[in-house]
Amino acid sequence: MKKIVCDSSSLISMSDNCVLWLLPEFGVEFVVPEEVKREIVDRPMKEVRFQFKALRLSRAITNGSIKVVTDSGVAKRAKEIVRLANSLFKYGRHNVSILHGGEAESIALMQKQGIQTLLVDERTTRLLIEDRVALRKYIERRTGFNLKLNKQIAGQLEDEVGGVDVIRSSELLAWAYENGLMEKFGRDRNVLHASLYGLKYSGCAISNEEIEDYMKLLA
Amino acid sequence: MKMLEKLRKAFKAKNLTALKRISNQAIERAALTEDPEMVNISLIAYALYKLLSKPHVLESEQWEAFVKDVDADLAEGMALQEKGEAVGGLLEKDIINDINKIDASLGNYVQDVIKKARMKQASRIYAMGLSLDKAIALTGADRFQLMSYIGATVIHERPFTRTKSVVDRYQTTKKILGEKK
Repeated sequence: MKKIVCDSSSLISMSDNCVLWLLPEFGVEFVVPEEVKREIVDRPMKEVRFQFKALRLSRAITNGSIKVVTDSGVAKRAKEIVRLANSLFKYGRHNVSILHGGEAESIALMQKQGIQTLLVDERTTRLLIEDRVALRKYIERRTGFNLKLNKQIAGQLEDEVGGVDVIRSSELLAWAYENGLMEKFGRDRNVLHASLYGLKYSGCAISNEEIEDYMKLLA
Repeated sequence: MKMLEKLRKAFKAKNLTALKRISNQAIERAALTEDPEMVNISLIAYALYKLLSKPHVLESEQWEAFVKDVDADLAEGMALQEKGEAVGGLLEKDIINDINKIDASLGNYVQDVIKKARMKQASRIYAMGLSLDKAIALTGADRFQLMSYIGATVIHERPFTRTKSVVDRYQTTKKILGEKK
């Protein structure tokens, strides 16, 4: 069975919109590294305000919809990913530290397990994998910083993450809609529109324009 | 003028605009330098800005004593900085503690003002281009809360956030999941 590595952002968006029940319907295995499990279950369980959210995600792990993979090499690999990502751009004498934690472990798990697809809703990890030039332009535009790109690191990162397929929870939901899995909410186009906006408002990095593109494509 | 000095001056003058500006400048600097003291200065400036904007807080019995305590702590912090000493402990154990105390007794919300500050400033770091995990690591913001907050902003409408067309990304998805059932 094909596998998809998930980071915490995508699972949180889906959980917040009560669509974790869709995960077994996709016919693939959704896997997470231990750090992502700590981020979505262990830590929020300690705060009463987020306990029920954590319980929902914990249930998805218990019922096998999400599999936690323990791989002793992941933490070490993740440190290397973080080192590369955080030495990619320099402002003055400072390296701009852009990546951390579960995001890096998700990428590391992909490498260690030979998995090609990453499910991630937050924006920076996706840009780091798919378009480091766009990431640089984004940061420069937002901060006014003039960043220097380390070409050697950029080359190493390309070797590390080039060829990774990145999808978001929005792509999963669009596929679910097209394949009739959302019919319990009705068959009209508003189901797609509403569900994509639900994910967007839960933090998925999809723009208004992209949602309208999905509407033209599928509805 | 150093950040703590600016903060003390703005707080004394009840200058809300300056406090917000200091908070934002401090967090932007913290994003670059990963300096935890700068993060705390940002949180304190934001929290003081919020407290100063609440009439019921300014009119409370505790307010005068709070202002004296915070001013004294900021002065102490400035003196420590002059000597080249760290101020992290003072910021966290004294000032943030004082803010939490007055907020707990007078605040109207379940979420305290420092937590709100963590979330706002984490959002600011994410808006700068750093990752969600990085923003959380720097500020201590709650992950679930931060994602909802970011979702309600225009951060994901900005230029250079779109790396592939929807058609291409959906094609990739169908390649992985298979064509229509």
